[in-house]
Amino acid sequence: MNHQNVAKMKRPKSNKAGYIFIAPAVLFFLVFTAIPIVVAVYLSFTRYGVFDAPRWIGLRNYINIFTVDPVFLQSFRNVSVYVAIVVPSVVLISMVVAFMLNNRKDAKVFRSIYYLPALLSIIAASAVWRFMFDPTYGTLNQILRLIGMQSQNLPQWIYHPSTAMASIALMSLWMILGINIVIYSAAVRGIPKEVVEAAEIDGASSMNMFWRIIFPLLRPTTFFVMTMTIIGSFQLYDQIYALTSGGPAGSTTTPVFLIYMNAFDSFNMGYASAQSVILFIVIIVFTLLSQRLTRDDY
Amino acid sequence: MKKLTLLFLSFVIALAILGCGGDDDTSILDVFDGNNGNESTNLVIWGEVPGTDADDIREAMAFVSDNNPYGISLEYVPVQGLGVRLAAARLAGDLPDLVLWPRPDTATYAPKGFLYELHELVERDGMNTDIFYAEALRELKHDSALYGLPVDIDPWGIWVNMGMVESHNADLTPSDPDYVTVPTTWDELYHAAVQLTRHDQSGNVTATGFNINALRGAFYSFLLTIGGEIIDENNGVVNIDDTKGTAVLEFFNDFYRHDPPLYTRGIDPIDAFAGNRLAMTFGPLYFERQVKARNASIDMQFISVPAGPIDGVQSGVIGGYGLVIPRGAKNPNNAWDIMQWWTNDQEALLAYTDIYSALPANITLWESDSIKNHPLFSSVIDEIEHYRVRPVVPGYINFEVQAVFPTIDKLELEMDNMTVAKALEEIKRIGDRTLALERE
Repeated sequence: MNHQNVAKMKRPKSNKAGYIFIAPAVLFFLVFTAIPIVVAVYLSFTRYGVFDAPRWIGLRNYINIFTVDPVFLQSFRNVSVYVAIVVPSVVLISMVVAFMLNNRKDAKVFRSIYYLPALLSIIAASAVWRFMFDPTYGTLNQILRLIGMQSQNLPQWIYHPSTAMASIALMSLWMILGINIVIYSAAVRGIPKEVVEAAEIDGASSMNMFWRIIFPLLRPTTFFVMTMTIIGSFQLYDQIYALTSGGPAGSTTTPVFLIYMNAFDSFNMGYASAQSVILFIVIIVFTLLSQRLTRDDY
Repeated sequence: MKKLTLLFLSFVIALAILGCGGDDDTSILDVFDGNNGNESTNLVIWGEVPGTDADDIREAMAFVSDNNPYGISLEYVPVQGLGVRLAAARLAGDLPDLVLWPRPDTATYAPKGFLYELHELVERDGMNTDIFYAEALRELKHDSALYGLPVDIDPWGIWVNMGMVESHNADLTPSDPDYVTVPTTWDELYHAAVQLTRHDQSGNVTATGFNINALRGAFYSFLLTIGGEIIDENNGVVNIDDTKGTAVLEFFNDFYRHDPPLYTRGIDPIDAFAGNRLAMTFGPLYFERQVKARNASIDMQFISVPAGPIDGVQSGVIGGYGLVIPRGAKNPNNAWDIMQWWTNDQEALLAYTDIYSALPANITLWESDSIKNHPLFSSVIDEIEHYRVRPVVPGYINFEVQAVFPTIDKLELEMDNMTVAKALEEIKRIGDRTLALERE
């Protein structure tokens, strides 16, 4: 019996055990990921209101999104403002803070403090931030008054379209920076000491060390953080629901907020599914762009 | 290949799942066959009224439970996101028996199969629906099918803080130009708003005359006060007369552009009104109960939205609850019995009225002493013929949220060079698109 035949005889036995081991994961993936995606894509070509059977209407939902829907495309412009503020801020601030904390004896204390907001429920945090954003009595404007800002120049925060989305971004940064600082801290600690020491021996300044050694070595982490933040940002919903309900003047209406309204307020599941598919595609495009941006060319 | 197989398998399972979602064609009279024998007498009723208000609803339910002739007891369960909860409960086979239903939602949910149609039962049981306020009953219909019975009427008008008015008038005589009366016209409302607003030395508003933040939500109410329409219900399109729409938006603009400003953003109307920092605000009848929970001694008066300058009439929009039976409920016959009894029984309705501060939708009760002698209800009844429910078209709420509110916000904030004419055009354009999507 040659080696090939032996391999052929053994394979079925080991495969069977393997399939049994991966079955729960595959089942979980099928039920909670693959099937919902397939269902959503199928439903996007139908008119479906939950209790009736879906009715096939071809591309009508997609055509309506681009020709009739007055707000869906605007919602992408709104969320782009959020993405433009949150994604670079998260990457830069987290990375810099993680770098600064590296080798500090009290790093654990600071990391814990930064992480604390992530433990709060968004709804509870929103209630506190709503008070802080109050133009008359809120903490933020009280501070601005203390440092001499005139009443008529005080920002209206979530109550004015020009500042509403930036205010939401501010609150989100407060909540999500901590976890990204922890991720970057782990990555910074994983940088080989000999590389850093060699740079120090060569007389590299802190800035040079950061931009020429640390930053490039953190690219895989940056790709992960950036991708997760992009996905999370495009899916912005909770803060909007709790703080602005899409206003003022529709300036904080986001794609997910509209998808939720169409799906669970109006029960236009087919239309909401079409909107979800478009959001899915946009997120994929941005993730691929992020991948190109953080690609290791060395 | 494996990925393709997985995808194909997912697709097949997905289609199988969706195939289970079809509706049954059982006749309503088969479901409501009058055979209560196997049904539970402990019924669950869902509603969206939360918090301390839920306790009032529970108290009203307890009265119904203790006094109905069928031995049925009602347990009130407050839920948030009624539509989602009903959909989930139906898929799980755990629906409530009744729902205290926000009537304006009927046109959106009824065509999607959430509720049982009840008109055949009304006919079978010889029920007289003329006893209900016609506008409230109309709000529970869709395509001439009836989906529920109205319980109460919730008129939205303007609450006036009489303490602040009296304090302002303390050193004035009625002939004084600054003297404030309870407003009955737009001009009087504007005059009162200006007079009752207080500023500090820096120009900050310390007391608000009229809660202008709420104006955008009152667009239809103000249109009604000049005999205007907002939606053509037959065709489901926006139908705002240019002259009347312009008049309302210009009136709003007068508030927005007043110098010094008449308001601050983000005030809590209940808190501000109870604390005598707000003199007038748009609100429902139960606003009084909410305010008095914080300041029991406050003197406040409800008025209909003041009459406008064209075809002027004091008016407003009414909301309110109805009783509906969700499609698939387990005890439909008992549910139908109790909702018939409750919406007809004088004592049960008056108990509800008393506890929850709402006008009963059963108009035969309007002649009762307790309603006629009630200072709040009697004044509302005098003007109720001019009140209207929100237009009964699918997606009306979306129309308000996507077309009316953002556009009036833009007018208020002078965004996108928004003018009154442009705002009116945008409400029509976006509104028609929003309603068209709902009609699809």
